[in-house]
Amino acid sequence: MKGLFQKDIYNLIQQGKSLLYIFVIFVVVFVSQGKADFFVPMWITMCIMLVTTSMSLDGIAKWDTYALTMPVTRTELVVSKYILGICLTLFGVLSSFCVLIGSNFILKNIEWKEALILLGVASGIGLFYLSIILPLLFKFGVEKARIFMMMGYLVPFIFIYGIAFLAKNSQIPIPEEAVIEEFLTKGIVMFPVIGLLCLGVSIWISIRIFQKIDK
Amino acid sequence: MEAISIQNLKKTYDKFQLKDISFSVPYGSIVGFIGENGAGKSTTIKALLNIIRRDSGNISILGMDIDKEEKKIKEQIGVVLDECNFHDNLKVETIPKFMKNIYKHWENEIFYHYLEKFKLPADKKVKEYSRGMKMKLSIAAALAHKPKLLVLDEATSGLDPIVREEILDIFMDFIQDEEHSILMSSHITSDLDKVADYIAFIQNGEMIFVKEKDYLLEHYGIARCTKEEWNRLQKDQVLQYREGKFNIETLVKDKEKFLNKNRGIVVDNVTLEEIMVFYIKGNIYRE
Repeated sequence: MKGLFQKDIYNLIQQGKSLLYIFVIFVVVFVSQGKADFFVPMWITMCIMLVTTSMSLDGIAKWDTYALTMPVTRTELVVSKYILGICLTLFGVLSSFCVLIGSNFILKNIEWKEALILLGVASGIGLFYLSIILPLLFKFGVEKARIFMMMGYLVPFIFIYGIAFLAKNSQIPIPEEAVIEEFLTKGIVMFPVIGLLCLGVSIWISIRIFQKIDK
Repeated sequence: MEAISIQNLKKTYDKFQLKDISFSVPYGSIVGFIGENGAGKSTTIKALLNIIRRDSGNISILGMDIDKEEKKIKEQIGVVLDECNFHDNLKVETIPKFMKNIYKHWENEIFYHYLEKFKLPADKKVKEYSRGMKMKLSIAAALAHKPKLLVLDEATSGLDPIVREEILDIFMDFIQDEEHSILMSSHITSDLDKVADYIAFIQNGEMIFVKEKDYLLEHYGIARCTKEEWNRLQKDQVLQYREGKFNIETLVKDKEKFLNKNRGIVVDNVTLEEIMVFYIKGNIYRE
């Protein structure tokens, strides 16, 4: 499995230049406007999406077919993608944290509690998104799964706006701000943990899917 | 014992079926696996390697059951598919860095030895290689972990004769070790004329024959006769025939026996390609 993970990293490093440009542009645009917290979810999402880039590159090279001729099990092929996803999430979180430190050093504008909540929530949602999208990618391939990926972007927004709309127009009492704040504070740890738990279930599903596929 | 033993392999798709495929690859030999496009060569090889799930049948490789010891088997086989499967953006010099963590017996020295032998620059990206260079790269990767068995699926298709000759020389070197074996699927029968010990011929998902190549070339022949002569022929050696406007061409399984019973008929030597064409385009003779 180490070899598979290394192969993915070497491949993604080749994409590194374009990613670096995007990183620099994001930092300049958002940090200069004092909106480093906007940068966090976007950057973490971009890092997580590199997993789909990796699977797309594998598809173009027909790598999976070749890999199955090697001493590599289907389980290892699947698990290596999840490990890649977790590592990329971690990379996104750590690099975002560095940007926040840098921004605070220059502009002294970071509310650390809010920033940490954002890191926790963004990484948790990212891991949850991975847990949904990876089984679809294994089942349908990158091309056919694109429509699901786009829906995956929209669903959280629709969900959150839907809840807010319903709450605004109904008799349901909105929790007090303190309660929401406490929930989100716990979310710094809770969201990533829930995301990882969802990934665990997702791995099991992906392994079942991939074991039945003819390559 | 055999390097590969396939017994009663079956695989069904919507519009195609592998029907009871059985053949073996003896140790120290090269088996050429021939058939027209879509005959089932690649499907058989994929089923052999568990890349696709077979419906039924037993497969053993290097004396081990593929279902029970798959990982151990795959440490000892090198596979070359019909196209290079390394990612285009990878630099060639990064390939051994991850391959050595996939194969226990991977040796960088062997990989770089073949890169040098094939004159492949290691500092280029895979996408900068020509098709022939990519195929040589795949072969270098297949040989670098000291396999005992090579499985080649149309590995020389689309290559020019010079490159094919180079690659065939590598295979002949590989087979010098009596514990090494090669299963080589190809529709370029001229390559197999040169290197194969046995020929397995598949058509429409069915195994037509598995015979020694030398036997085929020494005993099989093409007889040409008029339609009147055809009616008088002793046809016990006739396998296939093709009717032309004025004559009939016949594939016979034993030239000598055929000539003894049918004096005056011209019988020519045959190539593997002609045998294949007869089976695909000709008619089976039934008494």
